[in-house]
Amino acid sequence: MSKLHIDSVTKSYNNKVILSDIFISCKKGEIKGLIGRNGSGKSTLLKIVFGTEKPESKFVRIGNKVIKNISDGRNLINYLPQDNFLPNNISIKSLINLFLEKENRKIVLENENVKPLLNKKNQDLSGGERRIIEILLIIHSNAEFILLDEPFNGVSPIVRDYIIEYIKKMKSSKGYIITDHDYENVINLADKIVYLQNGYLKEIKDKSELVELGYMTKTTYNTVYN
Amino acid sequence: MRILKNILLFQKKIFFISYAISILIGILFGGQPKMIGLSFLLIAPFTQYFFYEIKNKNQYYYYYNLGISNVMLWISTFVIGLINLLILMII
Repeated sequence: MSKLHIDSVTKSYNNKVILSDIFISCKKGEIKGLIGRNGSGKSTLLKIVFGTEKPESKFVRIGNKVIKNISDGRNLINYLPQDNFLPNNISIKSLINLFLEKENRKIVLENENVKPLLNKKNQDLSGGERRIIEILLIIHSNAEFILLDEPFNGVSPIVRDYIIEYIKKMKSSKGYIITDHDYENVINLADKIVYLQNGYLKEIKDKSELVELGYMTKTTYNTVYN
Repeated sequence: MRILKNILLFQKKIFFISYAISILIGILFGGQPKMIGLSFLLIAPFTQYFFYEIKNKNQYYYYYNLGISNVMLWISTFVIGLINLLILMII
């Protein structure tokens, strides 16, 4: 079974260590949730893995293939950035046809949420509509592993629920690493949670650890989980 | 083929704007086709810098997710400029 192996990731900004010798792995069919406070380095980690951010050191491997840059990761690893990344002035239908391989297009073109938008252009869509299109494109790409950086950014609760259910439905065919500022979304979706703090990753075995680590208050924990 | 089509999508925005400016410059400097070609070769990278690096940096992620790197996109701008110059020199 294919596995995403991320090892020895180190990154500093202005002599401050953001990521220190990070190790994380993800199997196909697994959703790994990456949580941490604002500015803890979650997005930086995903960008380093994808190849758009330069680290001091990194080792990324999928199966037997070592991923050193974006071209190495073609058809293996895709990244959903926090903000809209679709080109303007081209219809959504054309974008789907250009972005996806022929065999993957039909499911997106026939999606109930996409169908009414096919003749519209990116700049004519609402934030939620754009996010749905972006997520469907990334999920139905040929990539085996998907890095989702705040997929629920700027979406209404109904769109958020749709995205959560869709990712769960499509879980078996790919591996996912997901991060979101709203920890509840990540905790609800992920099979395993890792917490990034002071440059180090810690696997969370029990949600109550998040209180001990200072990620949430005891009151919040009791309100949400008891 | 899909990669090539996406590079052309990236270039579409750069091409038309750069060409319009190049024709104007070409006319100002005597209207020779070679001059238009040379102007295009110089202006297209500036247009890419303005439209993608400054105004729409996030759109690069669309191409990155197809395995097309930033270097490949910059090279494509220069290659199209060179091809255009060669065609205009032959004319």
